Amino acid sequence: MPDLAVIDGRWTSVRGFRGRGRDAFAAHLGFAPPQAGTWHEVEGRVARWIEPDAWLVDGAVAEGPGLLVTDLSAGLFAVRVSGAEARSVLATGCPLDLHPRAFGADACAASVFNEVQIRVRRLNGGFELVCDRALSHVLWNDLREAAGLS
Amino acid sequence: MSGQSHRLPSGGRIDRGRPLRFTFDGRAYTGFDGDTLASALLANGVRVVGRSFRLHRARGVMSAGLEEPNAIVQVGRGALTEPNLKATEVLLYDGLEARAVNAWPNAAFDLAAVTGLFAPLLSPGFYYKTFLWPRWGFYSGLIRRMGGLGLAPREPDPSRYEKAFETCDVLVIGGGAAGLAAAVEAGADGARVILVDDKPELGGAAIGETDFAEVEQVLGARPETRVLKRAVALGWYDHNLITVVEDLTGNPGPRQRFWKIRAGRVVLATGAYERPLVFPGNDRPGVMLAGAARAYALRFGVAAGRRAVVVTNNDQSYQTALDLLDAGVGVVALADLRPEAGPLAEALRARGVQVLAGHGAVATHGGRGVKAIDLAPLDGAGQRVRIACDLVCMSGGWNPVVHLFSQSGGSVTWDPASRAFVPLTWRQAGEATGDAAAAKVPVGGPWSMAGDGPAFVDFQNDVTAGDIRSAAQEHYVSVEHLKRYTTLGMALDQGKTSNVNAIGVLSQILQKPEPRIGTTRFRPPFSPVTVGALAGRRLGDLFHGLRRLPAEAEHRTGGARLEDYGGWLRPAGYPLAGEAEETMIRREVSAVRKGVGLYDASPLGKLVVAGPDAAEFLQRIYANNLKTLAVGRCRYGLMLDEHGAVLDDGVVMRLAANRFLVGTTSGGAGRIGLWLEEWLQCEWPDLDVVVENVTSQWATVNLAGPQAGTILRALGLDAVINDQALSHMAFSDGLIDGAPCHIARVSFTGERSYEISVPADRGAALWRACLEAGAASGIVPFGVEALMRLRLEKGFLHVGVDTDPTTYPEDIGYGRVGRAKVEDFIGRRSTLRENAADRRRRLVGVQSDRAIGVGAHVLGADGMSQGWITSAGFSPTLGRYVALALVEEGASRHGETVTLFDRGARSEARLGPLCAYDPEGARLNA
Repeated sequence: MPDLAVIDGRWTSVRGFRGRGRDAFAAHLGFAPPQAGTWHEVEGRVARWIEPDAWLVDGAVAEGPGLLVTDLSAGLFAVRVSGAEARSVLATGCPLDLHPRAFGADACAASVFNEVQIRVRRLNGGFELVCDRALSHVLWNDLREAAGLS
Repeated sequence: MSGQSHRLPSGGRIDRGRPLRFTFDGRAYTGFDGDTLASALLANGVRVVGRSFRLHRARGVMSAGLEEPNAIVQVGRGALTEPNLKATEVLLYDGLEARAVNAWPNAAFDLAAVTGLFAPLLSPGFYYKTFLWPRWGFYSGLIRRMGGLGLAPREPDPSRYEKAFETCDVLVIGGGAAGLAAAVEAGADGARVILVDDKPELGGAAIGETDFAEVEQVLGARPETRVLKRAVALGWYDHNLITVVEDLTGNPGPRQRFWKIRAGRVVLATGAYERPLVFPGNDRPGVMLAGAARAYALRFGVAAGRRAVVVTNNDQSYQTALDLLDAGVGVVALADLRPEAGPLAEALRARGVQVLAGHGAVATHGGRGVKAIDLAPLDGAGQRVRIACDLVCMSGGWNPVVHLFSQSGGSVTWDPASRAFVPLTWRQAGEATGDAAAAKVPVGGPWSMAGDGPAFVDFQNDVTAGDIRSAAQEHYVSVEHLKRYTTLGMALDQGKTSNVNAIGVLSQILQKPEPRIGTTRFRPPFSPVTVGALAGRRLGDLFHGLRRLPAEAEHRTGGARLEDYGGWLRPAGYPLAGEAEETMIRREVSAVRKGVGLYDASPLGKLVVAGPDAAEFLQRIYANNLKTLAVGRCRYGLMLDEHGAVLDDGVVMRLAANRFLVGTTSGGAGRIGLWLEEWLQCEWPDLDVVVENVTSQWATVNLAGPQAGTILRALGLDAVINDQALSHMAFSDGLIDGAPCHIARVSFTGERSYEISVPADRGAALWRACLEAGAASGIVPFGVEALMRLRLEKGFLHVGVDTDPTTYPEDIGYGRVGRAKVEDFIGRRSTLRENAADRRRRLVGVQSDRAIGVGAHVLGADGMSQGWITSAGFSPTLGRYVALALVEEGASRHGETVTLFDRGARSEARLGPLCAYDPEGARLNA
């Protein structure tokens, strides 16, 4: 039976202004941002690639030059889907190819689960799904349904 | 087992130790585990299994697969009943109940057939000739009842239907010998392989002949290979997306699973369907495809008859006849349409089979099943021979199954030797193997034979060779027209057994080669699919998810009636016990005008627009001037589309020199966010601007009414909120209980009003705090309906309600705004047009002592409509009805009395300014 758990935490969107996003990110946060389609963790801080010059970072980030820093802690909802069945649960609503060959340990991509827009990241033994807070109940109920928990 | 009169003593892939009981048309029978409904009926000697659609002719099982046109059944009862299944595909289970769909009271005795009720009514082209408007509804009802397209269950289907996405390197469609070989090969190096087959057992045409257990074991042991049985590939779409429906009926869990498979390459091992022969009486029960008779003998241990006659145009049927003899099915004669008999003729003669070369079938005889067949030389030089038989095995050659190939964009070519369409050029990454790759069986002889009675081409829709001749005589000579005129190929089987024969018959009539007749293009689904499989789990509460408010629980506690407004579940209002909707609205409106109201405005779209070029960007986006907006101030903004029509409106706040908060209509944040991105990414990539949608990050409440300031002060905010600093259209940042908050002095009600925003997880607490702070002042929560009434009294625009995609800014009184702006902005050219002569509909206020309905027309002196009411309602503040309307020249007709026309009723109303209440705006500072 797959395991579903809400991930509580603080989320900060970091968007770089044109052409200098990566440099501004590195200078301000002290580490390089992840490459397109990936996430990484540096000194306990997880950063996810969102789109060109945009990242979602765990924890608080102060305003910085060349960056739009936005606290989205209350605007996002995250859930961890783990267990042997995690991939098949996601396959009921997410069209992404989440096979380890196609979606490796550092993969992070935008997709949907049924009608809810999500950002998927591979975790050790599962996946992290992030969606808009206002639709969190839809994602949560759909996942529970797919996992046979409701 | 007693009763199974046609079960062979041995053979077949059935479990004779596991008898299963079932009923057909109310009669009880017994079959074995491993049977299909069709094989079990044949084992029991049941010959009539259905009635044809048009003529209600008795029909028997013709095939052993999903190409079956005759044995169409309704299975199950109550909520689980399923119509229009092919008996050849229905796996037998204990207690199965089935009925023929197209017969009443049953297939064996059908009233419509006895009375001949339908035949005269349903001539070829009956769609066009008989069922003319206005009586189509009558005819379609009659057809559905008597013609029998099956019955949908009346109760909701309790079964579970699932969906699944999958990706693979190679998708093999078809689990026969060729498909299995392809799957074994493709997955040898660990590639991700999916094999899809429609049968419960792998092996295809070779089931019962070759043992595939070892191959299945090899595939099953591979972690990256998945085998889907009882799964039909329905469609092949762009970028190698293939849809598959997997039938799981009888297993615990879901009834069906709908797969969407994205494949690197597709291997079509879909085999071939045998063609019937077109001869008089070829639809009599007991006439079946030769390959089907063989499949029933080898796969199910069923003798479809005891004295078989084979009619064929190819060599392969000789082997089929030998296989039947080996399995214990008697074969008495073989008629070959070709002048010369095949090489196996002597082998058949040696076993007592009469072989007649150059002979065709000219008639069949028998009541509810064939009892004899008349064979005659095709050159006319000889006598008819009548041969007693109870089974006619026909074979007109084989059609490779090119349906999916055609759907994928591939083109086919005509193979004259086998008289079939075969794959020619591919448009997507795939290949064909086995019988799907090429036609292998050369055929000869005529396409159709004349004789006694109709010769059927499309069995389910009752289209005969004669009907094709009639259509050709009426000049329906294109195969596309022929199809639509005769309904050929339009039945459940979509022409799987009839299309090529129809082309052949037409080519024979028109004396034109087959490739010049052409073929219709194939489209999904390959085989009918249940609505349940398409819907999956998107039912009930999961059908469409609404966005929910952070303070939803508080609204429920407060007695809110929640409704869908623009994709958000929001309070329409907060009715008191037993309070009617209109009473509620008036109470809530009055509370805002006289005291203070509290409104949840969280769905208002909020987009942060930041960057060195943010001001320049918004100057181009909005029709009005935003460059002059001072930091700390708010301004109403109007967005137009490229055509100059009103797109959206909202309040823009300048947070800092290079940072704005763009407000959109509720539910419009996603749409407008994409609009901004499109302009940034596609049109103005030179602008250094980023956009962040923060709508869900913030919960917003609105305090509105003359006492709003009192409540704001009572909230104990750590923020500057005095009237000097926080004047109308100003905002300030502060803290509430240590958390950040924004307070904006904006008003959609016309009263003094504060929008307070906090992080969404504090939204519920803020709502409670406002109620508490306002308790002594009699604060009243109000919903969307009261807000709409309040803004209507003020004449404030509701984009999408008071505007449509043809509304220009000057139609709503904003013409000057755009003309005054010197810089370019989206839609500017249209605002510079001279529209005065257009007699355009312009927004105008309307008042009346009588109710005004939204959608009522404003009539001119000539009685013609000059426009319509866009918003309307009773104004509790003014004591009369107020409305907004888009009316020709409305803006210059203030004071005029007009006639309203609403669903047959006329009334009088006065046109006037948009704003009906407090036009000076004094209430904003009251």
